[in-house]
Amino acid sequence: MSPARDMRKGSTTVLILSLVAERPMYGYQIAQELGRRSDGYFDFKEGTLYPALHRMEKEGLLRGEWQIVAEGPSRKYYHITEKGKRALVDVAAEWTTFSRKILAILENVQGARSGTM
Amino acid sequence: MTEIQTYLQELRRHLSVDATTEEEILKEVRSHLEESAVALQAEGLCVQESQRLAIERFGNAREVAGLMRRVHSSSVNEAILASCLPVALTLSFKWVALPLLASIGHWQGNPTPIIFGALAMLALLVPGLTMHRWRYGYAAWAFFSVIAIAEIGT
Repeated sequence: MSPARDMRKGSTTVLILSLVAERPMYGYQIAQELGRRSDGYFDFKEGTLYPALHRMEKEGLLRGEWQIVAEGPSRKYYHITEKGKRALVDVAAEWTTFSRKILAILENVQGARSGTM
Repeated sequence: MTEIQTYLQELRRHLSVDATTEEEILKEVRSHLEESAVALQAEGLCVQESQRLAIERFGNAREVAGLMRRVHSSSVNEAILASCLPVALTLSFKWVALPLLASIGHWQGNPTPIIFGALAMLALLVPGLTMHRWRYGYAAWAFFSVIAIAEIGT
């Protein structure tokens, strides 16, 4: 697995929680939104999204609800729960700290690289 | 049979989860693939091509089923654990509770099989009532029930 793919995999929970926190969404919609907002960076195999959604539902972070659609098949909408909202605050803070620290180190690496040129 | 139906059949073959969960997963995946295919048709693809591309974007059926199985396997494990409950209760009653009562009360009489049977049936009801969604749990439950009943007879 490439480092980028590894990082994307680790960010699934925070990405899903942050999207569903805006409004209830169904699987296909989540996949589309992730692709659109990241300019295709989070363009993973869509089928891998559902195990993550089901895991989060089992953990009580999301609540799934089937809705009948007038035209087309029923959709399972995922709603964020109170536990999910609390988890989002924690995980988002963790990711912010993580990315800041990584960027700080990378800046030093870039500084060292430009110093040698 | 359409490409989506073939894909769903393959997914079903590799899922190995309880019937209700399986039905829900297939319904959700079908909904996703159909919507994806319709969106691709709007971009100009024919029905067959749109379904093929929707499936390709969704991912390999075996891999998706494997990931799903991992998420839902805990239900099966819980079911198997719950299925041990009747035999554990029956045996602990027979070998621990009753001898303890007998020693405390200096009681030497043999309890009737009817008492054992009634208690075992009550114990069997616990997982039986909570396991209606777990087909594997039911199979294990039936197996342990037979052991429990056989043990009562000895």
